[in-house]
Amino acid sequence: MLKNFFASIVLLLSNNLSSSALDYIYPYNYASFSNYGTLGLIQNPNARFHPEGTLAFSWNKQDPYLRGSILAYPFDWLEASYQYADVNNKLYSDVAAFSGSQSYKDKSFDFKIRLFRESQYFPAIALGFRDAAGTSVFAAEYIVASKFYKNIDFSAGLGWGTLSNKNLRNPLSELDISFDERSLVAGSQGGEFTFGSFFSGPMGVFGGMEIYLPYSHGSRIKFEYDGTDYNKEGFQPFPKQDSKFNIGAVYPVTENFHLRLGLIRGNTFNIGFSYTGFYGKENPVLPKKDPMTPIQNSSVIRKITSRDKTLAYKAALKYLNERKLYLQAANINDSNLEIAYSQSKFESYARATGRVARILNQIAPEYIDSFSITNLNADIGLNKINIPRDKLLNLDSASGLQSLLESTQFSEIKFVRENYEFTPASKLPKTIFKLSPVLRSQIGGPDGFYFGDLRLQASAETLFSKKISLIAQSSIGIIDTFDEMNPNPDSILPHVRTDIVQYLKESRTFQIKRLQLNYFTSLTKNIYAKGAIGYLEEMFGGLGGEILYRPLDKNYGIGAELFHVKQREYDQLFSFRDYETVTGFINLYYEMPISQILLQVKGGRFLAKDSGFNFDFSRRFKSGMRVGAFVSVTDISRAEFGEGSFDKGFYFWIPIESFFTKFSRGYTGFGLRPITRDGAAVLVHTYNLWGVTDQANSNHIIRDWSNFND
Amino acid sequence: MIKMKRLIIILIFLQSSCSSLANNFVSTDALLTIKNYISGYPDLIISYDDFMKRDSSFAVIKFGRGPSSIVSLAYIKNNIYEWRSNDGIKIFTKEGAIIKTVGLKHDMELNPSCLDQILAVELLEKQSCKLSFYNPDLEKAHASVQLVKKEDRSISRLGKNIFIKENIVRLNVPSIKWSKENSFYISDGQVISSIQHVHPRLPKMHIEYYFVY
Repeated sequence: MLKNFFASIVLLLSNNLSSSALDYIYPYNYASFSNYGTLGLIQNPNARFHPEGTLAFSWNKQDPYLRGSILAYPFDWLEASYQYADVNNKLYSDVAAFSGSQSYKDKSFDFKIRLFRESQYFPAIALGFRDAAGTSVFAAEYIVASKFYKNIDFSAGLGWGTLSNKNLRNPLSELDISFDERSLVAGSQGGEFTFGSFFSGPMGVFGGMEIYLPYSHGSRIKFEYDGTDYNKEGFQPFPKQDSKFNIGAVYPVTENFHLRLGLIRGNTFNIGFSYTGFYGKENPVLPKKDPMTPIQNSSVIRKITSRDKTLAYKAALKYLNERKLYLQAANINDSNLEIAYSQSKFESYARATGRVARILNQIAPEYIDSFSITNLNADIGLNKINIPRDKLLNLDSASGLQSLLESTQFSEIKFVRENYEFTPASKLPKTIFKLSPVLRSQIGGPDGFYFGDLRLQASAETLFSKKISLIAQSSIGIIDTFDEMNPNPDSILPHVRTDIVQYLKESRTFQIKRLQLNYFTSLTKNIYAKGAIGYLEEMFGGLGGEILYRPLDKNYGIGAELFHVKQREYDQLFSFRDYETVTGFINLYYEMPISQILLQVKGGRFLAKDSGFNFDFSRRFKSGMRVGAFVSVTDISRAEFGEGSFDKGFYFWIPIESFFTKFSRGYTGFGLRPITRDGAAVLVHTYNLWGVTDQANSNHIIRDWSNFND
Repeated sequence: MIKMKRLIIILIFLQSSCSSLANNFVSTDALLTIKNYISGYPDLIISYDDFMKRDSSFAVIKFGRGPSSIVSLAYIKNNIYEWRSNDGIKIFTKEGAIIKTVGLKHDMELNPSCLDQILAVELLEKQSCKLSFYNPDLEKAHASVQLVKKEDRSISRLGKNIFIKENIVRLNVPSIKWSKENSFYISDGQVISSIQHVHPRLPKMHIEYYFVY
């Protein structure tokens, strides 16, 4: 190993190796995770970040802690992580009747911000916060610098809180005497930022290096001077520290999956792994192998369709439908062929539009010189895209695509089927049916860390007419671990969510998750409406509606929703409990076209009759993945809300097509609230209008314009 | 490697927190993917009847324990065979050796002249080549090939056992210390099957050729 290391230095000094060769000598060279669960050395953090759009999971075992972290990189300068730590030297609570012998579980939220990028001579510098909004058992703040020299990544930093091993006097005390003392837990219910204690108390130093080993499948070894003050972290009895120097190793099994092993404190081994998914880029997992099937003898078809408009309509119907682009209506006005279609295959609207245009270009009569393409969803016209035919001849180059975009017009439309000459009949009602496994989980409760059940879910959607659909989802339980789970809601609010244990246990054999009848329409060109009735979600049924104003060429939308709902019985079959309420919101949406950041604000009345606002920030990436977080503020006090102080959480959704070589629609994802409480609870009715009308924004087509010829 | 990514991803997303009431969707493809990950994808066995039904030459390719695919012979130009899959992958071979790939996650290109004598004349001396790998890009790296072993053996093909000659050729790229042995199974002077390493980040590739004359 040592021989290899010196050999690499010689090779690097010779400057004969291209950087591309280094990718093979040091493969899988993304930054690695620390035991703490964020990018770093062994126990210490560093100033490294993953590319934006990266999601990761890290797991580590080191006595007395077992730690699991979920991480997201919404930007390449921001690392955000949510962690669970099992602390095996303390009980969950002192009351055995409440939690038995279960060990203490700590939830924490960390984030790190890059202040400066690494340059040739200067290091990357980052500012980080550990356990910033929790019980502060592991709370620390740090500023850290990282710099590569050859194949060694050096890091050094200053730390406060649990990263203050040297107990140096805090230089910030010169600014304000309040930095001298570090206050402990800020909020009695946890879940709040402990601003008052940031960068206060004694200061420590830490540092170390990560050495990338050549020709070793991307393996690294790490050495560090540990910045942790183990007398400030966790609970008594504090772990004994025999050495301030730690050593560790990382072995990348693949680019995404890393194993790690180390010796810390001079007396404790740690073992861990991490999985990193770079989901932000286009086709993040598998490349697509789903090209458009070419049309044979298209010149002959064009001659035939030129004879009669009806032949042109039928040809469009046939060749579009064969490619899962379903023609709903068509018109020929002079030299313009206008069609309306619907599809459920492509997430990229530019790709769907491009395929429609390219098919029409191959089969439409020669005298047609432009196409007007309207995309429908729930029989609502969402946009009208006018494409000059001659611009479709040169799509293989970027300049050709750009020229096409400049000549393409986007406009709003109120789709009226009767205005079209050709409207092929559909066989209705039509039902789409799907079976899939689902897993329901309850994490971090006092009875045990994890409870869950594996179920088989049947999902059906029946179209009674183009505008009316029924969504039905039911499932049967296959196996569960709910026996040991006990209900213990301590909420003083109406139990709109905290009866989750009863819902899970009583629906373990069979559940009707949703039975929702929807009606969609557009009132004008840019005002959309939806009505819904039925079992709208797992805990509430009722009726109500939603309206949305969304101009095509603007990046905002304004909507309102109002529902009268009644709480469903725990068995999630047909009966209701006594509790009922009216819930409704004014909804504001604003999307930044360049960064693809969406801000949603809901203001109104929540399920537990509390009133306030819900703020949701999310970012969409090139792959279609969306990463977001939300927070709610309502008129209940922190004490009324209970543990966690206020509603908050995060989520991410990834297009299913990312994992397959064929295009398809649909998302899979993960969302988490640190704790289930009743305050700020929102009705989760399916098919909200902002999602249904996603194409009613010209930027959502233009952003993926490179897919037009795909 | 690809399968492993899928497995882990799917297992992660099977988890959803009830505390969030998060919806999740996992298609039945996920179960099939997990099954295939555990047991490996089955080999695609070409029977004599299958072969007789084909009217053009084709090859069956398989990376590691992944699924098998069929590529059809599209062109022969200057003794270089171009094989194409229906999803756009192109594989170029000469004397049965893969000299270029297009459309894989990690592609490669090898200067074909260095292989000529080794495979055709069975020259034992080491030959120098220029080899390029893509994603990440390593262009025109110095490489060498050398015939290191020859042996006779029998294999099963089209439902019957046949005697073939196995030539093992070592491919070495010293700048990245990558060295692999590729096997070529030769019958009647023609490579009919081969196990080759085409890229450091891809599992070994098994390719079986079926020529229709």
